[in-house]
Amino acid sequence: MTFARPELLVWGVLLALLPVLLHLLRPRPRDRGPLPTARFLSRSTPARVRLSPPDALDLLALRCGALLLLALGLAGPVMEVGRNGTTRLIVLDGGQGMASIWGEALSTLKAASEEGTGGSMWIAGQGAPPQRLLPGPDGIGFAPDLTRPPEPGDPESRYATLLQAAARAAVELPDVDSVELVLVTRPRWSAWAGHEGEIRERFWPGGVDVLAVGEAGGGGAGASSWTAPWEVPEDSGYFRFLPGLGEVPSWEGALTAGLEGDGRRVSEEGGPPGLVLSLHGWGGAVGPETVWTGVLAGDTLIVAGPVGDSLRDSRLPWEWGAPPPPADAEASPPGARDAPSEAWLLLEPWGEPLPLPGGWVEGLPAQDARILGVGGSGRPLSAAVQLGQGCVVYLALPLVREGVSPGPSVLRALRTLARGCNPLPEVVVPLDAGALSLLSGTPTVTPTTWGHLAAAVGGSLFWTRLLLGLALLAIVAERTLAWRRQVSPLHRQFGGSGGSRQPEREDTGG
Amino acid sequence: MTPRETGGVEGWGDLLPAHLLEQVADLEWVSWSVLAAALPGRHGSPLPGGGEDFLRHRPYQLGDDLRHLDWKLFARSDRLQVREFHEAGHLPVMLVVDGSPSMAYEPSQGVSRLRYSAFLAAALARLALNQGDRVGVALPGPDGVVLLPPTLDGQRLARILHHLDRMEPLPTVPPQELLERGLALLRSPGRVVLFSDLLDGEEPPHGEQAEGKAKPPGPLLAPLALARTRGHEVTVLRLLSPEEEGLRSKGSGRYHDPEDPRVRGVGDPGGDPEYERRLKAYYRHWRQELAEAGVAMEEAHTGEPPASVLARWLRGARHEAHPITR
Repeated sequence: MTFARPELLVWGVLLALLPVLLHLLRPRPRDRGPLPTARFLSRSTPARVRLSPPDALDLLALRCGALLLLALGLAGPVMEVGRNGTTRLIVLDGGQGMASIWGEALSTLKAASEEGTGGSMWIAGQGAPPQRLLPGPDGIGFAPDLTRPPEPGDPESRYATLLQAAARAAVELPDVDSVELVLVTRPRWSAWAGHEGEIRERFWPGGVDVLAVGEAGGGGAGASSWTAPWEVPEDSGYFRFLPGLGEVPSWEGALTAGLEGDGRRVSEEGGPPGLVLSLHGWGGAVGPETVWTGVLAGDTLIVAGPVGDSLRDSRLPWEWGAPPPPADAEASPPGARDAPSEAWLLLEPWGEPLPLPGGWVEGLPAQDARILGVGGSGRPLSAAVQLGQGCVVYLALPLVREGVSPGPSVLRALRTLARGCNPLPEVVVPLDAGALSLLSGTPTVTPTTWGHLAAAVGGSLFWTRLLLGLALLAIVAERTLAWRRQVSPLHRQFGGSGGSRQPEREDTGG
Repeated sequence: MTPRETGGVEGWGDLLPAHLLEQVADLEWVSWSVLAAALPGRHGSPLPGGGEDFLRHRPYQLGDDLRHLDWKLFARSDRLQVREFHEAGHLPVMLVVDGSPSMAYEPSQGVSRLRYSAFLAAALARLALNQGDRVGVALPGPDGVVLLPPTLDGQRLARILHHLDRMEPLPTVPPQELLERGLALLRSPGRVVLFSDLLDGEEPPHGEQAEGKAKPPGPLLAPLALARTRGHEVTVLRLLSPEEEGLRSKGSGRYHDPEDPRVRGVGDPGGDPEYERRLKAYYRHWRQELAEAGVAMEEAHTGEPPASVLARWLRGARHEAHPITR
C-alpha cells in the first residue's frame, strides 16, 4: 500500500492529536448538575477549573478517527500497486531478428528467470499481457505464446514497441513496488539512442539489464546498464569546456565526463547565466554534430545533442496524434528565444528525472511550467518542471543529419514550444491548455508517481471514496452523539414525556 | 399571627423542618402539625376578607365593585375609598401549585419545592376548611392537571391531601395555564394562593437596556393581575431552595437548567456576587410588578420550617395583604 500524497498523513496525525490536546488542556469547570436558577450564574465567572483528562472518550475517539480518515482518504491510498520485493520483468524480444537465435534467446531467458530476486517474476512479450513465471519442466514452457519463435508475418519489433510493451506490462502488474527490467534481445545499439531515456524514465531506479543474445547489431558500442541516475552538480552556475570527448562511447559517459570536468563561469563568457556544458569532439567534428548541453541559471535547461540514425524517423508530437499547434504558433513573443541554428540538434538523451533543487521531476509539467521542446518520442517525458521560477526542457528532434534539413514545421514547433521559456527572467508565459494536452498524452512512471499511476488507472478512487465516506459517517456520528449528550439530561429527568400533552383530570369533588 | 401573638410557644415550628416532615409520610398529620405550630391556640380567622365586621378603607382600584365604595367618605373627602370587611366564612379559596419542572428540583438537603408546597397547601387547606371556607385546588398530578372546585364537605380535606401527596411536575402545562384553570373554578371573589418559584420569566434589563418600559417579568403576571381585577385576594408564595438563594454553597462548577439543559452557568451560587445581584434584581422586578397589580408576594426558601413560613405569611396577610372587597 502506498499513497499518492503521503505528506498528508503527517498532517493527518498532527490534526488527530489536536482534539486530544484540546481535551487535555482545556480548562473546564466541574459539572455540578441541575440548578433551576443556573441562568443567573455568570458564564464569565471564573470557576474552579482543572486540567482534566478527557471525559467523553467516545466523542474524542470519533473526532480523532474522523480526522485520521480524512487524512487517509485525501492522501490517496493505493492498494493495487506497491506490495513488497522487486518484481523482475523479463521482456523477450520476439521480433524477426530473433528468429535465427531463438534457442539461445530462450536459454538466456531461462537463465534470467533462475536468478531470483526474491520478488515475483513475470515475463512479457510484445503485445501480450505479462504472465507470472512459474517453475516448469523447462522453466519457461508454460508460456508458449510468449516463447514461440517469431514467424514470417509477425510484426517487426522495434525498440520503441518493445519498450512500450515493457512499460505496459509494468503498469499491468498487480503488485509492484519496483521493477527490474530484463530485456532479452539482440541489441542494435544505434537504435537505442532515442529510447534510453524512455527506459530510464519508466524503470529507474529499478535498473534495466539488457541481456544480449547473439551478435550485437551495428552502430552501437556495446551493452549499457544504468543503475544510478545521472546527477547534475549543485553548483550549476559554471561553464565547463570539455574538449577531447570523441572517445566517450555513450551519452551518459559523455555527459558525466563533461559535468565532472573543469569549467568557467558563464558570466565570463558573456553568455546567459548558468551552466553551459560544451562537449566537443564527441560523435564527430564541431559543427552539426557538436553536443551542447546547457543549464541556464536554474531557469531553463536545454540538452542538445547530435542526430543519430535512429532518430531519422522521429516525428513531431502532433504527428503522433497530438493536436497541432494553434494558428498563431509562428508568432514569437517578444524576448523569446531565437530558433536554434541549423547546427544544433536538441535531443533527448535521457529521460529520468533530474535531482535539481526544485525537487524530483514528476511526469507532467506544472501548470505554470514553460516549454521549450518535447521529447523525440513525442512525449514530454519530464518536459517541464518547476525549478523555482523556471523550467527544465528536453528536446529531441531530428534537425540536421546527412543532408536532411529541418523543415519549416520544425522551426515553427520550436518557436511555439519555446515561447515563454526564455532564459531571461522577464519573459514568463504560462503553459497554455493546448500545450498541456500535448504534454499529457502518456503518464510517466517514476518511483515517486506510483500513486499517480494507480490513480490514472482508477485504482485509488475506491479507497479514497471509502475512507472519505467513513470520515463523513464519523463526523455525523460525533455530531449526533454530542447533540444527544446535550439534551439527555432533560430526557433523564422527565422520562421523555415532553412530547405529549398530559390529559386533564378534573375531580368535581363529589 | 405569630405564636407569640397567639400565645403559643415561639420556635415550636422550628422543630418541624421540612426534611423532618418528609419522614412522616402522612400529609394529614403534617398539615395538622404545621398549622398547630404556626397558629397555636388561635381562635379567630387570621385571614382577612369579606364579612360583616368592618376592617378598613383602602383606595379604589379598577375592577372593584362600585357597591363597595364608601360614598359618604367620597362626599366628605372627595376620595374614592372602598370598605373592607372580615370574612365570616364560606369564602372560596383556590390553592394553585406551579407544576413546572423546576418545582421538582431537589436540593442537596431538604425537600423539593413541590413537596414543600404540599406541606404548606395542606396546612392552609386545613385552616381554611376549619374556619368554614370552601377550598379548591389546581395541582399538577401524575395523570395530568387535578382541578377541585371550591366546596365544603366532609371529605374535602382528605381529597385535597390525597392529590397534594401525589403531585408530580407537568412539563407540558405552563403554570399560567394551571392558574387560569384554577381561576375558572372560582365563581365569586375569593382567595387565591399560588405556590411557585416564578422562574418562568425573563431577567429585567439593566444598564442602558433598562430605559423605557420594562417588559412583564413573566407570563404568570397576566393571570395574576386578572385574578386581582376580578376581586380575588391573590398571594404568591415564592419558593426557592437555600442553595438557589445563595444561603448555602453548592460548590463552584458548571450548572444547567433542568428545564432547558442548553441554559448553563458557571460559578457558585453561594459565592457569586453577580449571581446574587441578578437573582435579587429578578425577584425585585417580580415584586414590583405584582405590587402594582395588587398581588401580595411572600418569599420563602425550603430550608425554613413550613410552620414558620406559614405563620409569617398569615401575619403579613392579616396586616398587609389586600383583602377581599365587599
